[in-house]
Amino acid sequence: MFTVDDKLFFVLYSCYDGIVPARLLCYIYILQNMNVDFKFSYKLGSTGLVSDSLDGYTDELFSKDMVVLKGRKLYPTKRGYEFLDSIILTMYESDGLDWVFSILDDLSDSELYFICLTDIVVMDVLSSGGYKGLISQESNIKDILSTLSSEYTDDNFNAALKLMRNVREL
Amino acid sequence: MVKRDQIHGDIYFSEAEQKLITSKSFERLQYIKQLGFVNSQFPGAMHNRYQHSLGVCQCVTDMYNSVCRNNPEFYREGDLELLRLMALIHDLGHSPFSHASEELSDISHEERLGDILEYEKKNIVLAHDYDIPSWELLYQVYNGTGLTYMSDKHLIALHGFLDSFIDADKIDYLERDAYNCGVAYGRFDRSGLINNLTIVNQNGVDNLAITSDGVQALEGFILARYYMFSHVYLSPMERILRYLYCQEMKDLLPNGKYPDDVKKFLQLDDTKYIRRLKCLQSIPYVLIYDAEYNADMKHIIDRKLGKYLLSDAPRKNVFRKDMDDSTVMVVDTLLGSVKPCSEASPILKSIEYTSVHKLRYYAEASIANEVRSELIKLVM
Repeated sequence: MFTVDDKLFFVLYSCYDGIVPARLLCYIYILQNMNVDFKFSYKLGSTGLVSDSLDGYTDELFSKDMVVLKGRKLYPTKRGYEFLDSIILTMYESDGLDWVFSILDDLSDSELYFICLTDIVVMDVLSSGGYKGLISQESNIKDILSTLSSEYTDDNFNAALKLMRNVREL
Repeated sequence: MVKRDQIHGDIYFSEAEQKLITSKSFERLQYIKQLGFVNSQFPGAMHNRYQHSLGVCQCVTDMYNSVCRNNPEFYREGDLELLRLMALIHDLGHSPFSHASEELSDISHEERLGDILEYEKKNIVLAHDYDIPSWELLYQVYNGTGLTYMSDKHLIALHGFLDSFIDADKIDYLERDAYNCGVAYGRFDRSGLINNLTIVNQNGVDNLAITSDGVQALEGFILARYYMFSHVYLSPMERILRYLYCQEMKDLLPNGKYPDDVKKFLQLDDTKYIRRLKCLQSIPYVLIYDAEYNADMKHIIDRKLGKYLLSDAPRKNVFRKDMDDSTVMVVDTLLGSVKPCSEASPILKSIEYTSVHKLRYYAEASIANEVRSELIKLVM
């Protein structure tokens, strides 16, 4: 756990400089794999990645005057920034966050989506079939990813796995 | 089996569907009201999730038949059977008083549904052969997760029939809720909407879309959602009762939460604790402020009178959620061109990101008059 309210902290931190809601969806998927105490559920809908629970949570944050929409980007409100300023992180936590955000901020929307999709598929196979399942289903996994995302290449696939592995170690 | 429904008339069910409908988990839905505490303000809102689930089954059938009529290549054997069972299972995981009590569960709605489907697996049978058990496939397609689901783009397309901008769940509940609450503004042109459904391929996946002949019906549908959220679903009485119910149930339930065990959970419905709920006998709070949300006003009122008041600021996007990158596409019936619905309708353009967002304050009945006087001085 990073803070007294990881859920609030990570959503507000992601919004710090303004973020398009669709990107926030991917950011939070990735960040919730760090050593945090929240987990939003995600699913793959016909239009892409969906999280009803994150959507409901942002509604709550609007109600609590923590976030505001300006020009289709989410920003913390004054109250939201005050909360962020009140949080003190250790050097290790701060470095970890800087590292993750420096990577995420440079990724395009489709690349972010690809990373999330890769992790959803791989984790699903892992939970049902273990590491043996991952090996036996490797070509099926790659087929799924190449069908659902234009970003699939073997290099991108390996990079996505590596990123998520590193995020989980933070 | 045939059931007479007040919205759809006679609805026919196969033997396989009958098996599920007569199961313990499904029959339980007769004792869970669709709208929680809304009946406190709209006494007719006594309809239940059982009726709604049967109605969704009919809606999804109409939707699929319409889509296949407009796009014959979309048809695949086994689709309708899968969609109809998905419609029947979609609300099985609901807690008592529907959405009013979600915070009393540690398990998410989706996880609970998975547990219940596994519990009822003998009553869930798909005739069409898939490589995993029927109950697991239903769970994957409804939940939008799982390898079998993600490896089949057609199944991803079917997911949209129960979970998308225009889905069978919304189509049924809007009309059903408006009818039972006795409100006219929740009604819309259901036939016009469903009969003009079509398919558009977006990013490699087939998505439900609407033809240009159905744009007015879509406008009416979105407006109906706006009015229903504004006046019914987020009504002040429902909101305060929801709050009081959760406070009381935290004392009545073991550990303040609904049980994780599926058998124990299935014993819970609206009737289990209803006679013990004090909030349903008398409400100790009075609504003294109800307006459109304004952050500055909230700040002023909270600062001066916050300690005397319960505040509530419910918010709901009625069409496109903040997270949505996509929208409903419109296919021009004459030209065949495809464009976002906001480009096909000025009404949809103006309301596509509209949210219902209220600011309300309740005071204890004993001090309500004094607090109301002070609040009037602040806001005037």
